[in-house]
Amino acid sequence: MNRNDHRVRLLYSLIAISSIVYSPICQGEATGEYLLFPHIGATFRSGLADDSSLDDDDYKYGVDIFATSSYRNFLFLGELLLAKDEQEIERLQVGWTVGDSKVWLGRFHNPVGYWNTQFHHGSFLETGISRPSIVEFEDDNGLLPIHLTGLLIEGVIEHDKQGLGYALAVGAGPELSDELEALDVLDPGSGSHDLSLTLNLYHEPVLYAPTQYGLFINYSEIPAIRIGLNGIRQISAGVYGNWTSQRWRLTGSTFYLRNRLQQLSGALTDDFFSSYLQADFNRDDHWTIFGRVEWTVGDENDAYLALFPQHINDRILGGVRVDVFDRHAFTLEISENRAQGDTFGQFMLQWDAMF
Amino acid sequence: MRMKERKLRTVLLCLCLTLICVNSTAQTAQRSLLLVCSYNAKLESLSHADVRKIFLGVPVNTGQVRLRPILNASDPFATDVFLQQIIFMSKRQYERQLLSRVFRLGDQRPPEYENIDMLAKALLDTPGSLTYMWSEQLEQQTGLKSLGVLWTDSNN
Repeated sequence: MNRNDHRVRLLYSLIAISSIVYSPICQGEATGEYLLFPHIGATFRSGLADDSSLDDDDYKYGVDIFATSSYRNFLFLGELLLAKDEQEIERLQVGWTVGDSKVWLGRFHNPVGYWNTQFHHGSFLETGISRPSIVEFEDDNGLLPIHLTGLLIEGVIEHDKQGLGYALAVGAGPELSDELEALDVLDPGSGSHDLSLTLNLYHEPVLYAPTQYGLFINYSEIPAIRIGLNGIRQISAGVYGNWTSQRWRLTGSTFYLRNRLQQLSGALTDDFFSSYLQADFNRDDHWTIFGRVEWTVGDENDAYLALFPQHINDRILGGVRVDVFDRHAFTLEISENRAQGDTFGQFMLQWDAMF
Repeated sequence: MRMKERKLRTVLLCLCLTLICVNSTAQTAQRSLLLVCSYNAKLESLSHADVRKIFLGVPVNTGQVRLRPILNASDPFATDVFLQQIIFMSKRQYERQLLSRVFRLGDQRPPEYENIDMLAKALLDTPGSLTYMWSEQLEQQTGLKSLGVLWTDSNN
């Protein structure tokens, strides 16, 4: 993509987000929110293999721009990421509120598991710096359809002061080239995209409280003609939980991934399990200590994983986050990582804020 | 004679202490946290469960009007009591939960007022708006009414 393309994309993205905030119906009765999540981060790696495609150090900066507005039962939501390496509309949704349910059309985050629909691209909301690799974004060596474009229905049914939540998504999923590529709403005709379906059900022991436990299943048909495959049929299913107390937060999930790689000569099916468990301890309103383990079972010689050489299969990390000056955070994260044929240490520093 | 004086003094002391206790009880009994809206609002009462939903950003309507929460930041103790007794969250948890809903579902966070007069004006100007305030704060405002007691300071 040349520089002019980048500028045009940036312009279109800003117009799209601005239209949510400043559209004529957003006057009068309408209300809205406009949030900025800037970040600056540095990553240092040690012990990389000689032929590793990762760099010894990496620097990133950017801002996630989020806007939402509502007019009676109508909702508009947009999220635009302007970062060093990408400028992309991450979410662009129009929705209707029907009772305790919401019906959305547009590009949204796939409700596959817990993490993906809790934190989106607002890294300030995450305690740590990195995401669990199984729910990593498509353009960061992610394995799953993280963004879909289509229909999303979600809500919570109240029962005896508890909640039964649901999310059903039907849309166009990603295409696989050198990485998964979600449908680009600024250029919807580009690439080849096929069906992706997700169902997520969860239980809230206390209605609308953060603690919840759930299960999910996704089926995706992923075109992959650019890498010489007819396509990939992917099923991901799993369970997750998020438990909070005054000081502690535990978040964990297990994914089962089954991929059927369709070649001209036949089909190859492989499967594996991937899990993560993160613990956060809030010492007080400023200091949070956190740790996470991620592990993959059945990844040896997996045909689908072999297509993502930088994907991290196992990781153990620890870190500390300091919240200061009302919505600024400095985070330090140290981890040991195992990717395909590469084991390395990683040291990350990041400043996040929310305005 | 001395015995009589002592008895009289003791009785007087007990009377004084009783009066002090009764007086302070009468004062603290009035210290209630109330759910408050505009006097013109067509609302009679709301359950604590509904109040919790509204202040967590969940859409709740009465007729055609969406009920809109307003945070009363004029007294941090009132906010602490409200969050602990009605929302069942700390302030930090509540802020994160609101932010999470905004980011996930496109909801809006409640506006927050530190000035009680501006809060009262917002209640009068915004149809369907609700807040919480101490009973003595409500007594100093006009055009507002209580929809019920959320919490009473019965410990003092």
